[in-house]
Amino acid sequence: MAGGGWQHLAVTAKELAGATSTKAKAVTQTLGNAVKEVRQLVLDDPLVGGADAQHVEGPREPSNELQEPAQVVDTYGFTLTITPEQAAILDRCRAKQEAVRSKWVEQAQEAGLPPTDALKKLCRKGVPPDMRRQVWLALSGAAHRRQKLPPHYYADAALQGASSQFAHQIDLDVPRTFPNNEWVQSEAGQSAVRHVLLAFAHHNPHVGYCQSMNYLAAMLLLAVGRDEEEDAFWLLTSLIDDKDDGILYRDMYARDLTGTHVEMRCLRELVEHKLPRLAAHMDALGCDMSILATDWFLCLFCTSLPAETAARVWDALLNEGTKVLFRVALALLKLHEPLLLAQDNPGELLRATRRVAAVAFDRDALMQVAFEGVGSMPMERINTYRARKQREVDREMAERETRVNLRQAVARDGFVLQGGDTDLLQREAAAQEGGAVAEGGGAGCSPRAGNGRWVAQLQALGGKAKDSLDRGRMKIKHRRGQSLGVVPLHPSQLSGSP
Amino acid sequence: MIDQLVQSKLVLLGEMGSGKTSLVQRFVRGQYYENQESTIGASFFTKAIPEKHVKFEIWDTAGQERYHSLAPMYYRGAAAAIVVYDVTHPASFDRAKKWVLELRQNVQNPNLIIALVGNKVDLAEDGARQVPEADARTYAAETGLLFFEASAKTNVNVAELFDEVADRLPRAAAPQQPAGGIQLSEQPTPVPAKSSCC
Ligand SMILES: Nc1nc2c(ncn2[C@@H]2O[C@H](COP(=O)(O)OP(=O)(O)OP(=O)(O)O)[C@@H](O)[C@H]2O)c(=O)[nH]1
Ligand SMILES: [Mg+2]
Repeated sequence: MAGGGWQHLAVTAKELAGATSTKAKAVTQTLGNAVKEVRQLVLDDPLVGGADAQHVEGPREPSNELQEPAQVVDTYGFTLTITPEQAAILDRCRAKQEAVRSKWVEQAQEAGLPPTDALKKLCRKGVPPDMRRQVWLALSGAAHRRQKLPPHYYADAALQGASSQFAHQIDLDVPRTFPNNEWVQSEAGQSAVRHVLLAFAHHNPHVGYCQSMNYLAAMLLLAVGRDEEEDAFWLLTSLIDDKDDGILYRDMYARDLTGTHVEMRCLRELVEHKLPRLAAHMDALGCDMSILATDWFLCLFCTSLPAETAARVWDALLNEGTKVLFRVALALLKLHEPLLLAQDNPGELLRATRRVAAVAFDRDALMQVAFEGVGSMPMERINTYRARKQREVDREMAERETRVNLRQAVARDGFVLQGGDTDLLQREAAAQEGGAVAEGGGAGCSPRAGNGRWVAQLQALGGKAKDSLDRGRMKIKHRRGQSLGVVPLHPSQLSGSP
Repeated sequence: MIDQLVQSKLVLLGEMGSGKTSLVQRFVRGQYYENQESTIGASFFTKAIPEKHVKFEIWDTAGQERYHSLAPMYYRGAAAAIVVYDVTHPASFDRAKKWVLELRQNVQNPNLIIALVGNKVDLAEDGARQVPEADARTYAAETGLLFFEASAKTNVNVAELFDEVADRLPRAAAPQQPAGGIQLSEQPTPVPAKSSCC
């Protein structure tokens, strides 16, 4: 389904009005709980109220204003080097955040269910950091997911994950996650991130572990509470789910990142419509969208934007779905379009984009452009793009696999290609003549003497035959000698290759 | 800068955690971080070697296998590729061989310089070495690759590596075209379709 996971989140007003809506109930309950928990959290959680955060909380003293860039620690424990100007922006955003808090509290205290529109508005304005845990769990469906499974599910999964094939990769990446965050780097932090990732790898072996999920797990832990591994886990599973039931588009993190390729192409399409000059400029430079935005979509901006800004993006993302990622990407590009247009190669374009994203402290401004400044973006349209791009990507992936399989068949088993897509292996043929290693793309194929030489009499290979080649070597073997066009090499042919 | 610098596109490929980013950081900034962040997508660095009239435009890629499909976008049009493995991790050496093969098959530039680098050689002294130097050296010689064992951590052979690559660059090299569109297919795509990013 091209719709991705956003749809299940789009709770209609009717649903919300009905007493049967789990999500609506959950949100209400949650808000009530959240209000109760606020005090507790502020007192207990060093993230929110601790000494580390003190120098950025509260109004700045006037004497600070003319100072040089200073180091501060943000709400989530990231060390920032900011100018006095940026410090003022942070203060302003925090003041606004406080104003919104009262609305959240009000909402929570109301007996009725929060209407969809109000919820959307509030989420776009941002969830107060100390209420994120409860609100995110409810919005994302994570709370619901947890209820459906036995109470020990997470603990078991984390334990079992240790023997997953991905454990090694996870162990490699955990120490390399947010080096500028003291807690994430601490023993407790690393163990929490590791557990969440191991549990996920066990829970969803189709996805397993994808580099970038380390940042997601860490960011979730920072946002919902350092001891709340289980919450972070359920949030992660709500985001990433290959059964088209996740918030993010399917297969974004799976093998070959096909979903990410699809999203990149959709974004590219949107940029063409919304920022045609930038699209043309990128074309002229030969700069693909995925150069700029792959990490945005995989890390959900948490490695690109300041953490508090990224959390704001997640507030809306968890409520509205992936559309938010497109909006924020477009907002970033739009806000800095003149700078980006001035870059004259893809590398500098990437660097400029990363630079401006890293200092996007004004989360209010970014969100405003994202939601009001980039025009309408019906999910319908994104889904149309997705359907088209998915076919495109699937086709390219299949072609790639075919080539790998053909290469293997030729190198390992001495097949001769008598028909086929002319382009398919032409370059491999050239490499072969040049004496380069003739291995296929697959593991463990060692070309035997004599098999190295092969002929590629490539004529039009019918679509059907090609499809069956897509399935791999076994199929090729199976069809050996049939009119498919792939036959074993006969010794007499060795001398007479064209 | 007296002469004009020749811009050369260089790409780093290799298994996750083999030390691609660390090698670049060491070369470009003279820094090393024990907990170097894993690279998502790719990063871009530039560094000039004025004595050699070269300015490297360096693409440092993500190492995990599933990011493979992004790689062609970064190695296309490259003048040089540095394929990194971890001398303490045999699987990373196998992966390096696959990268070499893929480069040979897919990069049209017949003068493409490929350097094979066994990183983390500082760990070899502690007996952690798993890939014998001789094996790698033989493979590199047979395959026509430059070969170094290096350490980003203790700064062994890093400058030498980039110097050697710079020396091998064709003198009259035209400025390299930067990365093109994404190409899931490993083969060159001749004509990009209107609606595609290829
Ligand atoms: N002992 C030793 N460790 C190193 C060396 N170079 C890198 N490392 C370690 O290996 C880890 C990974 O290095 P990176 O440079 O991030 O590896 P990478 O190849 O860029 O990895 P990805 O970005 O995941 O593809 C670092 O965190 C270091 O701890 C080295 O020369 N010696
Ligand atoms: Mg890296």
